[in-house]
Amino acid sequence: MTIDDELHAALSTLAAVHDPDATDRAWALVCAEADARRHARRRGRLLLAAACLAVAAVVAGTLVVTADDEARLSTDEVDQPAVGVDPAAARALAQATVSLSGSLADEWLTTTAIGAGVGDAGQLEDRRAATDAALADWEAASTALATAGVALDDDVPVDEALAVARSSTDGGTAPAEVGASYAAVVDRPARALVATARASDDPRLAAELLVVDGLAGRLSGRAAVAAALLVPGPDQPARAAAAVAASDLAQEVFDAYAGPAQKQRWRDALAGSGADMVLMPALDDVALGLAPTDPSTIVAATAAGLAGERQVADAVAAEVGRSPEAPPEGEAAAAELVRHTLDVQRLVDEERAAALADLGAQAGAAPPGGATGPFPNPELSAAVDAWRQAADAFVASSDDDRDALARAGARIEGLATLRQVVTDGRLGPTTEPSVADVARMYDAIDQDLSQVVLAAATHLDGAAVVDAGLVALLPHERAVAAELALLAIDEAGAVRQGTGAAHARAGRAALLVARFGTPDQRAARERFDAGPPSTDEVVAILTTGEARRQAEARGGARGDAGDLVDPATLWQWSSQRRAALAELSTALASTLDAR
Amino acid sequence: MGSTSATDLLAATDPAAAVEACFRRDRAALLGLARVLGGTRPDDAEEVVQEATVRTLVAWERSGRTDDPGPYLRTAVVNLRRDGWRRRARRGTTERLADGPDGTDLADDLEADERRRRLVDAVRALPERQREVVALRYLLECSTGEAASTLGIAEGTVKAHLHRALDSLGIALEDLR
Repeated sequence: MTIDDELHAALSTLAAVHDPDATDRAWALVCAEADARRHARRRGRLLLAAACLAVAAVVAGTLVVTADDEARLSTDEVDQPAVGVDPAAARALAQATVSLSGSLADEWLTTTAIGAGVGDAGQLEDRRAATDAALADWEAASTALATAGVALDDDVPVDEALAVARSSTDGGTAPAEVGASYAAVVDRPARALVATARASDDPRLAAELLVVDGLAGRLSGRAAVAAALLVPGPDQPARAAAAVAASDLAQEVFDAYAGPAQKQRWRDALAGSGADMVLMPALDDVALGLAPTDPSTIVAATAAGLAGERQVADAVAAEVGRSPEAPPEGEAAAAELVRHTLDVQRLVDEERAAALADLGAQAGAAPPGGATGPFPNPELSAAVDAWRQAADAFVASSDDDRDALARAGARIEGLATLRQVVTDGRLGPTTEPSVADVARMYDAIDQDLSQVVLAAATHLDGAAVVDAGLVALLPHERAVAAELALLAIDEAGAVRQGTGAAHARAGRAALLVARFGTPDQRAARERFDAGPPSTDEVVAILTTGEARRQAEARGGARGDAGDLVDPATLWQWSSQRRAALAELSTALASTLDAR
Repeated sequence: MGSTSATDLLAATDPAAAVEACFRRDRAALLGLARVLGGTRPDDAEEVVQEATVRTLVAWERSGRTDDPGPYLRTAVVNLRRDGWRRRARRGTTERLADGPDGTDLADDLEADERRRRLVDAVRALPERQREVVALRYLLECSTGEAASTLGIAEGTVKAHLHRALDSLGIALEDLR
């Protein structure tokens, strides 16, 4: 035997796989890890990423069963050998856990509303009954698994933890502590999910259970502000109270903040509520060398951060820390760039319609909507030239945002090719462009230009951004964050300049125009009335209780509590929450149905 | 090598399918590569291969590629293994002899063939670059060109490392006779 043969034979022993199922489990783990990273990148949220990484860690425990692994992974978990778990029973436990977590969140939000003076005792009874029912379902599901041999830790019975949480709502307990008590109720259900996952010999099932655990954690109220902003309350009072509670929390934080030495007080005040996980990163951003001037600014920055819009959050921070006498560097160039970009976007939109009509005509179809303007549009060509000059001037005044400009610039360069495609009716030597192809290409230009607007807008005064109609151009989620941030900027500006509500009112009117195409607030409210929440109800809530107290405490200039939290803002908040919940529900359903 | 064929890779219509097919085809060999290069516990090798595959999957999905990620994955394993060595060196952790796949003791597996075991040990005692070249050549059956591409070095350098490694291993084998 040659040395080549010997080497090959010897090394091949290391590549032998004794367990054919190991590859399936390993691939499942790869998918879970990759999914975790996609989530983390897309959402920028620590909680979900942590949950997904926990999936990976625990699934890894099912992949390689060694003494070292067992010691590492079982330090704070049930030492549970893989015994096999009935998937239906495990998924029933997962569903029951989510249901219980949601009920607990609803109950906790309702107690918060009552504490803030806007809740209803009758609603609380309903919530408690729903929690009791969910708890009964969970007990049944966990008992079934325990009977089947899954070792579920039972150190603190869930009903006892629930009793403790409920007893904390009788007054005298800080809201953060109440939230922590409610969060503690789901500790054992969460551990049961982990234990079931570890007992499962199916890594995909284990991954599902642990993802559910992560989602349940988000819904449980462990992150108070996240719950307030992202989890829909059962009704208007709860939603409003959640916002008020978030504002309260921010006020406490603001009061505690007087410099680096006081920062620990923040952390102490927030510790245990889970809110620190959400609030602290945003607060750190705001506080980094800046002095927050207004709690609503913190809330808005937090909301912007939650929405994944760091630029907006940064803009809030920058705005708060900026002296009104010192306009930001490059503001004039930024304003000019915004103006020209918006101009180009409008003309791109017009030319897009003309191009589609042109293509329709080439195909023998009547142009939709009649005459649509010239194609190609010479005004667009001129506007693009002006835009390039504005972009150059902006780049000269700012070291930031060059990527967005470069992308948009490259896209604009492609406009000539796109026009040729439309004119020739040819996408390639033999391919005709579809209407959808062309529409997508124009949309891509528009989207890249929106990024330029956003980048430039962070250099602008808030009111100027609103006046520019920025919010109407942004994708939904970003627009929500922008609205919140801009309102906060307005408030901060009003506080600084003593201009009262006029500034905010003007900004809000611009928002209404941008959002609903009408300056008529009454008409806008009628628009709100088309779906929940009704504006009257929101306004009634906002003009009572804690919101009014806070408004009046600010010196009377904000006598109209609508200045504190705008109806449109609340509407958007609730939309955002609905969207977030829908996303969570979809993720959960697909996770549970995947197999 | 695994049961996934090149046909599966050719048939891959999305990045994840391409990476999965490659992973199923090459996993055993990649685990062996990680074990030869790292010489630590089998779960370390699992972690290295998993991390390399995750990075490959993310990269493939981000770029929309559907071609065979085998070379990329191989390079990722080699690079991660090097990183792992450096981390362990800083911690001062003592490596222990290789275990067999799936947590079994390699000594048990190789009891009937002490010569193979000694040869594996000799490979693992080689300098890092020689060990990489030998593993790629004799475990993954790479050509010198493929090994050079994986390691980011010239083909001539691969041949030189391989020559020196075989000299050393020949001496070790002589001692066994």
